[in-house]
Amino acid sequence: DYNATLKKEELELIKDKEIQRILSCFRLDYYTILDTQPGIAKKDISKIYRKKSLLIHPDKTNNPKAVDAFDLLRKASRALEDDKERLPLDSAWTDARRDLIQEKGWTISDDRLLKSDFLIEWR
Amino acid sequence: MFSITFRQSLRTTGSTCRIPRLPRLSLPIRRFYASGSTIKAAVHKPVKVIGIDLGTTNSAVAVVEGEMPRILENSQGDRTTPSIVAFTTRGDVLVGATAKRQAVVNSENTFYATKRLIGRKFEDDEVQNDISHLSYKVVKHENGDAWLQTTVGENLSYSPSQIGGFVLKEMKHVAETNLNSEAKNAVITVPAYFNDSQRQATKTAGELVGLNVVRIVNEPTAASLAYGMNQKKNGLLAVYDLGGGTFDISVLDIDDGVFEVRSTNGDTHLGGEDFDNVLVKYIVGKFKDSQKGDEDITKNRMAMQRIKEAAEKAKIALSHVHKTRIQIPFIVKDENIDFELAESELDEMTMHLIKKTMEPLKKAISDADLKRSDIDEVIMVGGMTRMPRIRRMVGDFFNKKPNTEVNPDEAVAIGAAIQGAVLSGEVKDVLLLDVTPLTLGIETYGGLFSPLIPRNTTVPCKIQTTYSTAVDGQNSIDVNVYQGERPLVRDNKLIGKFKLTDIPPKPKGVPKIQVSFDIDADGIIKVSALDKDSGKRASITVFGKTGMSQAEVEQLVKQSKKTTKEDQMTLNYLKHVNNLELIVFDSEQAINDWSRFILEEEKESLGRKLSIVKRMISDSRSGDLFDVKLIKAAQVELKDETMEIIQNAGQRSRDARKKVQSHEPN
Repeated sequence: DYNATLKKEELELIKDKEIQRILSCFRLDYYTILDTQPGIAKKDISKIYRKKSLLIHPDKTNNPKAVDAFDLLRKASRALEDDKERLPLDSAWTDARRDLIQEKGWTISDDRLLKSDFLIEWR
Repeated sequence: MFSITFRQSLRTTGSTCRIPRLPRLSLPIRRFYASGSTIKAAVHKPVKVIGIDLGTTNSAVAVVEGEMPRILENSQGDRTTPSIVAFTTRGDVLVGATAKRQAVVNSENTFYATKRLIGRKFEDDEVQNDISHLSYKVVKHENGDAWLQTTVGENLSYSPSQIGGFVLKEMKHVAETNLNSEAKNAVITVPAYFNDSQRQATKTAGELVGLNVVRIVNEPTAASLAYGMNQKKNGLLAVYDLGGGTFDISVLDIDDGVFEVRSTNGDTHLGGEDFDNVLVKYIVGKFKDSQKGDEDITKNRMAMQRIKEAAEKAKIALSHVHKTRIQIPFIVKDENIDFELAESELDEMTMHLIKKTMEPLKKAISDADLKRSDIDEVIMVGGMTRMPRIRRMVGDFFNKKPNTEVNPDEAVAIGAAIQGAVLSGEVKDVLLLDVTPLTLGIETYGGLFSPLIPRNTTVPCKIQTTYSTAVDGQNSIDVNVYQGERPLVRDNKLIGKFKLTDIPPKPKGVPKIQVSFDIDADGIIKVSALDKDSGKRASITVFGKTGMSQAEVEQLVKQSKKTTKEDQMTLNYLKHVNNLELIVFDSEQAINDWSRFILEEEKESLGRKLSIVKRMISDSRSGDLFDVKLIKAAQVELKDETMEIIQNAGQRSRDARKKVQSHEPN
């Protein structure tokens, strides 16, 4: 079936891309690894973790790098689920955000703070 | 009438073809302590994967077909097969119900519950404890492991892995007969609380019989898959698994097809066997109280085996009725055992065992950061969970009635088959995230245990640590790896010792050796090392590990592969030979019955051919003849010839009767 093959190929490509993306992250930058923002609720972290696991777990793909990517994903989500590890990280993020806003001369309530350009720069 | 072709084909007996020697195939076995890359070179996607629940007392096999898992029945029509292997004086190896049936008369060579010995050292307390209950002999192998000794043949000893291998081979056979195709790939289950050595030994058991073990899955996790596939429910699930020899408790979070194990705990030496032993002791005590003679019944292996069987039967009965009768006639000379046992009595005498499951239960809940009331559903797996007292206790603990929708005997095999289908890609949108049950660590100065990977960490996982030297010019470092939860290494289980060698001589603290510890999805540990300066792989030597050496495993694999293929061919051939013999009997019978109406020359011709065929049969049995085509041709021609003679004879008999009738009109 032509369409099914195409779809399968596409899924494999998405998986490979995600693995590539995770491996290119700084290994302690947990939010970026999970592709999310500080402030996310704990239960959403596990949701993201499980969703991404379905993609990149070594059981789900032939990509030999999946083992390492999954290891990073696991460590990132575990760290963010653990308050002891998450709090210092969050304060560092808050500092970075404040510095960035000062640098740009914006105010705390600026609309541009919610735009993806800013979010990416912040990260 | 015996055609020329037969004679021609007979001539080929001159060039009898012996059983061909097959080329020795060597199975690529993943090295346990690979010094190589930690990344799997190629993840193979196997085609069809069967799921095998290798249980302490019973085993089962299942497969997923068209997204539906089903249990495969053995040749007796049973859905489970006793995990019992027996060696007879005639050199036969019996597996399953046939082995169980002859246990009373051959108790020394009938191996049961060997799963409790797999991956263990002879000196282990659990092993020493078991020895007094077992009817067979446990010996210490060269490497210190517990092995099993037979008293037949050359008094061979077998490793528990080999015995497990015989059972796996039987299950493989069951699958192949059902599926009508070769079953090469398998998922095998182990108790969740099994350590590295026990897992490795189980995997070896599969490899010994030529199975490609694609995954080792934890039993409670597999059971959760069997439950979750049907229910499609999300939530927190507790699996209470009390089988024949082991106890596991796992807490899982099921969320849209992702089965994430939150925590696991257990006791790899607690199960139905222990309940049986308590009851056996009770029966023996009861007998001794009223015994008239002075024979020590515990020294009588056959009597003890009968008591054991009666104990198991009574225990099972008491799951359904409140009272049962234990009757063993003529247990010694003229004395009998005959008394009534109530459910409450059994409950009382095994209460200490039931209570033993409480501590792991509490630990698992707290390790998962949960309260008992958070659990949405409880499922019970393993034959022992049929005991009403256990169901009641678990129900009280969670304040919730256990779900009874899964079959306690079949859920694990079904789950294994589902995981097999997940790995083959047949079932999508399902993922198992399992954990390592025990903390992995190394020995540091003073015999302290320094943890590296805590228990309940999702696998696969890895950790890297850097080692350096303590003195100038030191060229090797010893690292001892342990699994366990105790602060001192001597209380934990030694998984392996390895030595980093060939470190370039440098001042102390300068060399940097990066050691990476991997736990793969099977829960099996791999260690590799890298010299950071040179970027070269450091050499690792492993010793003191439980289990078989690589060479030993390869040797056994070769042997078993050779024998299985040869066995199969010989078996097929001998079946044809047996058929031929039946035809010979039939022919002889027919000649006898119709003797009066068969012409002498026909008798002579057929008799000659029969004697030739008989010689072929005896040559085949002795191994001097091996030619399937020839046997088949003989079958056809002998049958045809006999048929023709019989038809002729029938005609003559009818003619004769007519003659008689016409000559003698009444």
